[in-house]
Amino acid sequence: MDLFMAGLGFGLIAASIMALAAVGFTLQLGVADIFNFSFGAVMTASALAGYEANAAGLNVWLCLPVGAAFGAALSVCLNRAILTPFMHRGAGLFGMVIVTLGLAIVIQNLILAIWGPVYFTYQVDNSSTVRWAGMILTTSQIALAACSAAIMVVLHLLLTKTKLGKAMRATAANADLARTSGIRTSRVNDTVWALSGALCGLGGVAFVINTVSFQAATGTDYLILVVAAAVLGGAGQPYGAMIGALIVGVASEVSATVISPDYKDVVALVILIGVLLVRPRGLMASVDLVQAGGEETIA
Amino acid sequence: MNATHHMRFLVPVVSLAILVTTGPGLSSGYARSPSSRVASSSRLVFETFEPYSGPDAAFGPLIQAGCFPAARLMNQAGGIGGHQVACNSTDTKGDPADAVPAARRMIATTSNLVGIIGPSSDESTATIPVFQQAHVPFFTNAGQAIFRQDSSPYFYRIYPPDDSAGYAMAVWGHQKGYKRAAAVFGNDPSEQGTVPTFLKAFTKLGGKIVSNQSVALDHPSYRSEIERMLQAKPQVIFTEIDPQTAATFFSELQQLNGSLLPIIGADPTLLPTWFGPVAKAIGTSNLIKYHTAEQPATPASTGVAWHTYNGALRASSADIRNPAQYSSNYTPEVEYDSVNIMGLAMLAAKSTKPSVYNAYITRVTAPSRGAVVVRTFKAGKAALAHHKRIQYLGVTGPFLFNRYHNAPVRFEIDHFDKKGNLVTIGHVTAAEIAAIIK
Repeated sequence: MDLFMAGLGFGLIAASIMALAAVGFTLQLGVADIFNFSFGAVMTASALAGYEANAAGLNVWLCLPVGAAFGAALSVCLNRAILTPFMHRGAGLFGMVIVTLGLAIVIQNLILAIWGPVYFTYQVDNSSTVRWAGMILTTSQIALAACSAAIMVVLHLLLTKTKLGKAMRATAANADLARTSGIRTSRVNDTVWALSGALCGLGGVAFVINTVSFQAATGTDYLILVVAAAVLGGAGQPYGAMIGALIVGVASEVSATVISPDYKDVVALVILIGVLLVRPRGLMASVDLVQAGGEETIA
Repeated sequence: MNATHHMRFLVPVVSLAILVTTGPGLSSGYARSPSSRVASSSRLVFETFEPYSGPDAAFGPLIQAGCFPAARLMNQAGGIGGHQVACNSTDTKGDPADAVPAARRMIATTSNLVGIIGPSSDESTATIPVFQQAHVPFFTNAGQAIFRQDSSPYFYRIYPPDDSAGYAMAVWGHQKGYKRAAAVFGNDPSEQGTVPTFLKAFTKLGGKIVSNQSVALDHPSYRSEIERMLQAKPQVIFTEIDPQTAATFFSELQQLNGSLLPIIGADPTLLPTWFGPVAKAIGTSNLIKYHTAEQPATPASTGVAWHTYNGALRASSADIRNPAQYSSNYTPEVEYDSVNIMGLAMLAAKSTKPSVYNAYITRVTAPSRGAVVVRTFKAGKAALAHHKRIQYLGVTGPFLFNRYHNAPVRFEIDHFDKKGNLVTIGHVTAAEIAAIIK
């Protein structure tokens, strides 16, 4: 039982970090309609920006906003300079998948070309350990989880209580209709890329604060779990991504306490396949906050 | 922006993408001088066929660091049969799916390919048949035990198989008096190769494996694995995991347990690329205190062979990033010797044709009556010019190849000092390993 509770605690932390990235990924998917495989590489690049700031003497916690700002800026640039032009030229969903895969390889290789095949390590102070109800967590992990939860609340308020959130939902539901209704969809699109890029950057830095060390392929390797969480929750659904991250994070960590840890990813992906067999559009498809919810609100 | 404008913009972007993703120099993250980047038609090419990207991306630069000083010294000595020598690289990505087409492309497109350094364990089983068909000698650093009896005439291994490393780790753990051990090894082929013999040998020596975990590499957390391991109360951890995984695993172990446990690692845990991130994650003093690891025993960093190697290595800063880090590193020293052996075999055979000089590789390394013992390529070339038989020892020799072209070695036990240099604290002999294998 102790081991289960410990695994549950570790899973909650893994989920809180994964949720940042999964929500960012699903926002891009929901609003921009791009299955962005370069998301993991942008996570790595953002973590690298945080690393450089950390190496220059910045406190590791201040690297979170640095990573967020870098992720936002890079995502907006990539969208404007590469992805949007391809979409305007009629690239379909599959074509965009290939473009983003190529972008991921380019970013990863640029990191390798500039920094070399080295491992980057954050200067993270060993924080104290907190034991509660069988869970064993460090103060830095609790801080990361709290940070993630706060960001999720802010995101919820943004999507449901602000004009910008409504505009995002309207654009996601029907961009042409939104445009004729007076919504500046290109600006909304930029905002979504900045927001999702910031979440991507935050996810990258938070991931590395937890792992301490990373290399050029780290974000790309991690992306499969992020995508699993996003798809499990329902593609394009921020709340779904949160729940998906929770399931993937907890399932993989708890399973590692019972069976060979070699299979922890396998367990998460088997759950994903099982859920999609029953609910092909994901767990939160009916809630449809970004898409269907947008239609209801605007209507 | 109109479509024409888009295309003006996209063409350079796509071109850059192609350049970055396909250019071997860039993809390896490796600065190389023009002289070695492009092999002219008359240059003989030694190709390093290793991962330059992916989790084992550190392998390629580490291994190729041995080729550049060897090529430099060969060229300074007048080359081989009038040909200059160059070192090229092919990125296997550490993945058989990528490595097989890369191997075929390399063989088809590399002019004057005379020798291959690699493959690593990651892609060895998939690519070795390709090299066999090509009739090009290859010196592999693959650790799989199945190659103990590889019948390919072009296969050479002067690294100990991973299973020998497993024996060496178990013997050292036994000598230190540990009875309850945890095994924590990565789940890829290069890291799993050590496990079966380690488990077998440690048990045979009277120890008990209380926790045996094969961990998925580069995960965000290993806390569940650590908690499960700690519940088994091990005295020591035997391990081979990549630097990122190790940094995460051991820093989390420190947090959860309050302190580290003694760690006995396989030889990759002695690499400079392992020291940096792990020392930062757990503290250099903790790493020095708790970590030891085996590696094939090398002579002390003295003598004419090592000084020749080290001088050429340090002069290769245009080709190798921070060459000084490899001064006393076994892996590039072995690769340096591998290139020298192939070069001397070509001179002995009076042919640069791989299928011809291949038969001379064992001749230039085997001890024999009247053979002149040489420690550098230049000395070997001079002796061969005088029609003498040679035995090349190099930095890491002697190389006593058996019928399967494996060369047995003994092991040393090292730990890091605070600068990341290695300090030898013990040895495991070939006889001790042979005693367990029986």
